[in-house]
Amino acid sequence: MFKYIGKRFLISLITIWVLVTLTFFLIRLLPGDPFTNPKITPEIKANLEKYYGFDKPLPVQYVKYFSNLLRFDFGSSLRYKGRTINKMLAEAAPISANLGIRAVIFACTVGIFLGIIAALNKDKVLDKLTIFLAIVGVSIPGFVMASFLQYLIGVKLGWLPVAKWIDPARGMGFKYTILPTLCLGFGTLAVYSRYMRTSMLEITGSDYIKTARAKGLSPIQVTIKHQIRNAMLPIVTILGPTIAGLLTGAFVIENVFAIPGLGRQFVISINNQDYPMILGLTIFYGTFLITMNFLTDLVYGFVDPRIRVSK
Amino acid sequence: MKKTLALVLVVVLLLSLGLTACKKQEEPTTGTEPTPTEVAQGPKVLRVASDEPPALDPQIGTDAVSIRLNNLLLEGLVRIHDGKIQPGMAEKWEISEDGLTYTFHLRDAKWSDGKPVTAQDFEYSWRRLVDPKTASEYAFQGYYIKNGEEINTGAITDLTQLGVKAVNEKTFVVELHTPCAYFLSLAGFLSFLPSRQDKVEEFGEAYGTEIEKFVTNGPFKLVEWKHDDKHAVEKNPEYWNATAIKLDRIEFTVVVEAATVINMYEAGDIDMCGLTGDFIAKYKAEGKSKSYTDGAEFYLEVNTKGKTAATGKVLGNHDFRLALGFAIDRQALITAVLKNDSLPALRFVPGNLMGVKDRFTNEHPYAFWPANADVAKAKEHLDKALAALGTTVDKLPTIELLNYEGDSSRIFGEALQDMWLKNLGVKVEMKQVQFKEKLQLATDKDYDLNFAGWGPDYDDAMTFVDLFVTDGGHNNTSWGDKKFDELILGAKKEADQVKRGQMMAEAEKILVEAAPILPIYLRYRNYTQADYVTGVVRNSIGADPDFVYADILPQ
Repeated sequence: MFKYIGKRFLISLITIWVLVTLTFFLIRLLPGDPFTNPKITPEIKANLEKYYGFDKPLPVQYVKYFSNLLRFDFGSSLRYKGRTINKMLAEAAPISANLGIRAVIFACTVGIFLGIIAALNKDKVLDKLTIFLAIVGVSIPGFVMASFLQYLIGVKLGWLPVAKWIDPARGMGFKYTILPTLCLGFGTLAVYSRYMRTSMLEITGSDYIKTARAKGLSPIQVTIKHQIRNAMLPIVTILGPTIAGLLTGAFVIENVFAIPGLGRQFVISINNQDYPMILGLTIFYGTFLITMNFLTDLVYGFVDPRIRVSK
Repeated sequence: MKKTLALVLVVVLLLSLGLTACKKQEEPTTGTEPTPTEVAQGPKVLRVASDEPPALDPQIGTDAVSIRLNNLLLEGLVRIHDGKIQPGMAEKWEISEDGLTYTFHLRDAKWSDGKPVTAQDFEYSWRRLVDPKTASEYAFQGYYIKNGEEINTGAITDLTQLGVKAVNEKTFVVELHTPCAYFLSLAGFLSFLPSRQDKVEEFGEAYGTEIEKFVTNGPFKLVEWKHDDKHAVEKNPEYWNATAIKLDRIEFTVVVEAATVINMYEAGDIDMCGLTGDFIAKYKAEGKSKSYTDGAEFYLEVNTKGKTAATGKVLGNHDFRLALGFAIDRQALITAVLKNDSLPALRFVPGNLMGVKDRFTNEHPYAFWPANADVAKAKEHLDKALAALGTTVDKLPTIELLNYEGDSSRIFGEALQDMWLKNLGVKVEMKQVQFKEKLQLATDKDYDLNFAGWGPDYDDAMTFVDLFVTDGGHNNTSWGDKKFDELILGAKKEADQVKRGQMMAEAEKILVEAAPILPIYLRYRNYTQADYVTGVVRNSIGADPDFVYADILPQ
């Protein structure tokens, strides 16, 4: 087990290194550069390139960037002059994480619950309702739903704030999180409910459920102790990709609700070819995703003893 | 390993999603809103939707958000308000006979930390602007000053050679290298606002990135700044003209999505917002839509040498370019596609710029292009072009139109394609690319037609006409004309303002009629604001909106 973890850890590090290197060189292939601006002259551009060290050969820049990176120094933004990437990430990441965790919890709990309800009421009205909800959730893109709910609930009904995010100093709290969480989590919720339903129904006919029934357990005990627990397995498998999906979805949701998270930085940095920020975000996301996947594997091992044993 | 590979793919996908999904940044829209109680009780708070300022350091900033905020926080020698020059840190000034020397007399004023504002502050800031070590993107604004360009490009390394001098604490003398009719209005521009030597040296690159790393001398003080989320300013009681300042506080909330801004306005969170798309018609119907021009003129650049030799032959033909120009229905593009108050461009210099006493376009009336398509004329020129080229319409090479990203740009481009196809039978293909890529392709002359725009740097026709001098840095058309170059160069040296204007007007005619560019429209922006907001000035040059003298009326 430890050997396995160690090996995975090493592979993760190599993956991150490949990611940094590829990104570093690939963004330079984008047409234009951070200083492409119709107003400035070639001489001024040369001054800027010198200032930021872009006049040096690319390998030299790479070595410099990488040595800084080893000291966890991501450099300064080219767009937000003078602000360090470390600080910008430190400001934005907790906000995105806050939103992301809310969305995951919302999507998982409600999704799984709906899946169970649907499975237990197979082909009845409640089942059909969750199918309808799932179709809506999967087929409506997050930004469409966000714009719609923002207009309906924020503007027309006035029940919830139109945009912005938690700020206790101004008495902005929980109610600001509801719409973004709902919009970000809804698609995932729909997927989860379908997965859970299918998974529950697959198990219904399996031998151990029959055995459990034969031992005389009550239907509730069978459902809770055996059916739900085993049906959760596929859900855990899709947790990693789910979080990846939520991250990409968050770009749009953060934008619509004017939430100062990483999504905003991502879009702005790419538009402005803010190299240090693009790299910083890529490394951040890459590391995060690799870690999540790693954790998913571990959790999987805990939930399913068969996997633990085989390793 | 498969899974790690998959992860790399996911990240690459994320990156590419970002790349394709990136949008042109929305124009910062504005909005304000006091709650009724606040209005009744006294403190006048204005709430505005804005964006995060990229750089408050005046010698580093270049963007509209930083300009707008620094208009409130800092004050230069003069203040530009509603196109007029008002005294600022300088209470009076003299200009020498030859128009080369400006002597500014500073008033008693204080920085936000209590230190006096001195002529040395300006001397330091202006030197800093052109110092190549500062790497200021807008250093070219300092090229009007004697030795400014030489210092910035490294020909002179001694900063003290720059034509600025603090004679004493209260007297600041500027020497220009050629007379510049609009120098006073430049002196109020962002790049010439003061920064403080001791603080710049203390904080270095981080100067102007946090409240505590910035000092100000303007009518408002920065009191709150949560990056990428919001910032707020409050009236500066120490400001020399504090009695003219009506607002107590302005709150800026960072919202870039245009639809969100409108929703926030409709929900009553803010009191002013830019209008786009169908909202314009909606607010117009209620009589609540206002509009102003931001001064940006949009036109087609024609690469007279073409992307390929084949297209170059066609686009190099003067009649063909005229045919393209006459086939465009400018008014229809505005009414049906833009759906805002933009004006068709019948010439190149936009109507909002000042001439000697009146608007430049009033002093030199001229119209070459029709507002609606002139199909007969277009066909006539096309026939001439085809005869000269010895070809027919269906044998013409495919011409490519370079366009901005996004749906609205696509529709605009498609309308153009349609007009050329219907009116002339000429097929044009469209290529939409990201802003920076588009600039690069245009600069490399790797295009046939380029839909482009230009915003004014100062309130004078020169900011437009001098773009197209032969081989000029902004001239992507490969077009050049000796007479045109002479007129521009002459106008730049001419001290007689009336003559100077005539020379620019003559040059404009040469440019427009040679048609290396096909002007299409002068952009107007639509917006709405609550009835009780007054005194907000919309500008095409400098800070927009200008909130300095804004007020909230009691309801």
